Amino acid sequence: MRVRGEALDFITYIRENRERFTELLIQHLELTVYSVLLAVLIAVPLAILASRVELLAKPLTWLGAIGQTIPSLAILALTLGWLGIGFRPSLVALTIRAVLPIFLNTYVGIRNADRSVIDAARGMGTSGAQLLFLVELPLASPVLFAGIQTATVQTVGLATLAAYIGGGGLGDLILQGLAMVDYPILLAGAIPVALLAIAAELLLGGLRRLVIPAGLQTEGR
Amino acid sequence: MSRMRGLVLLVVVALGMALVPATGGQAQGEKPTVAIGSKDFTEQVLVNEMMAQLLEDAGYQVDRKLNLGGTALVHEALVSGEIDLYVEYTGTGLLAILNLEIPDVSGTPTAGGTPTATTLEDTVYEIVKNEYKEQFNLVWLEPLGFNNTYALAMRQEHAEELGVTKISDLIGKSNDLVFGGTQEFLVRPDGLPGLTATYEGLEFGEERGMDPGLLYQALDNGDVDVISAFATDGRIPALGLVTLEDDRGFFPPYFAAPVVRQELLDQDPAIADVLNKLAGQIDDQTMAQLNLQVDQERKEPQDVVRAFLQERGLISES
Repeated sequence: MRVRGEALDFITYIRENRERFTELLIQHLELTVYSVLLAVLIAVPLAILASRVELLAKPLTWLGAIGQTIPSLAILALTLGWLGIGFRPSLVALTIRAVLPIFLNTYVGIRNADRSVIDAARGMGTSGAQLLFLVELPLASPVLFAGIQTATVQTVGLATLAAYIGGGGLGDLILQGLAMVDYPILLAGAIPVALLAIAAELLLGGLRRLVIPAGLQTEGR
Repeated sequence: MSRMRGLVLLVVVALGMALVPATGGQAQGEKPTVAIGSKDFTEQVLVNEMMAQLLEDAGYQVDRKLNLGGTALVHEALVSGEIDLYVEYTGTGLLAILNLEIPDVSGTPTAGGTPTATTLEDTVYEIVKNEYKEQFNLVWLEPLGFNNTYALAMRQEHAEELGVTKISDLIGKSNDLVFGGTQEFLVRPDGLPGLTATYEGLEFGEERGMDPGLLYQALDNGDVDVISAFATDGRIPALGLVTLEDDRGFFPPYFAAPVVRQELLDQDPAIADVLNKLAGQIDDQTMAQLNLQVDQERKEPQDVVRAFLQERGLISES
């Protein structure tokens, strides 16, 4: 296919349209950060609940797995009927998407926490809350954190779909470049998204090292 | 044993290779298969489906590649030969593909030259026809009759409340308004960038790009205040929307006509006659009505097209 412009012209495009690019970048970051934070607030309590009430564990896991099989675009379309177009439906759709990896990792992390440590803690007379916050969650934290990392990297990419429903973000540039077969515009959206995903992975990897108790940092990543 | 199998395989492969060019190539007198594309909105699917059904009725095989994407993408597919034809709009060809200016036809034609077309719509058609032939070896057939120009649309009561009837009325008010457009309209030279340059001072508080199918719903819900609309969209009257007068004449005429690869017509010139059966058959109201049947009444494009072509006696009843 004949294409307009040289591939590297995307840098020129970003320079010449700095204001618009910055605006879209900020929208993209907002979509990603808010939806992951919301997903953590929803997924972690749910996972704790599931680890406490055995009856709920299966249905919740199933629900999450079913949610994960619905295509992201379909979730966008479904939230559209309810919330209209723009930022909010995009945020809701991305949050739904990010909940499962965090939920599953938290649940598995708590369930797989070393039983002998928990028994020892119980033997020392810790209360339920102490057990959760001082023993179980710290033990689950490496797996939990990996879930957040997965969810974030995934959300950075999926946030490009917001461009279909007026949610903004860097997906706007990708769709505009596609509509015009203009590679500089397309790449001005696509390359920063890829870089953002890598940056998110590295940043959260660093944060993981700071947050997780030293004794648990066995497996390198 | 395995040697035997190897031999059989070799024979099969050799036979296959001998057969492929024979069936893939154009045998004398055999009708070619025609690949038809379209852009990603209702009217495009409808008019290109019309082309497909006309050709099928005339005994051609059709490979439908409808709903491909935006203008540039479909045009590139045509130039590269992935599709053989699609219906394009004269103004889109002029501004978005050829990157030319809207011609000035207000003055009298220069003396001594060949007689020139005098209306803007004819002039634009002549320009795209000649330039497409020269630059891409593509042929513009006869226009179908309707002019699907871009228009800005608003909710009627909102437009009345603001006292807006023309696009220039938006100047000074647009800063408080949210504009919704297709992603393509937001970057096309004959879209928002050109519009805001012609109507100096027109700047929207927010610009939101979205899928073409969502624009009307978004406007109707109040998520956006002004949208880029098509003049032949039946939802404008159906949803109680109004279009604003283009009082500075920014948008050119957008008459729809099939654009076909010259190579296909060389193979089978009769294709042009089949497609030209639709010339001048569809006026603005008819097109709007057909669009509405799909967008509002949720009918299938194939059914709408078949009913229309049969009613006009353009294809046989079956």
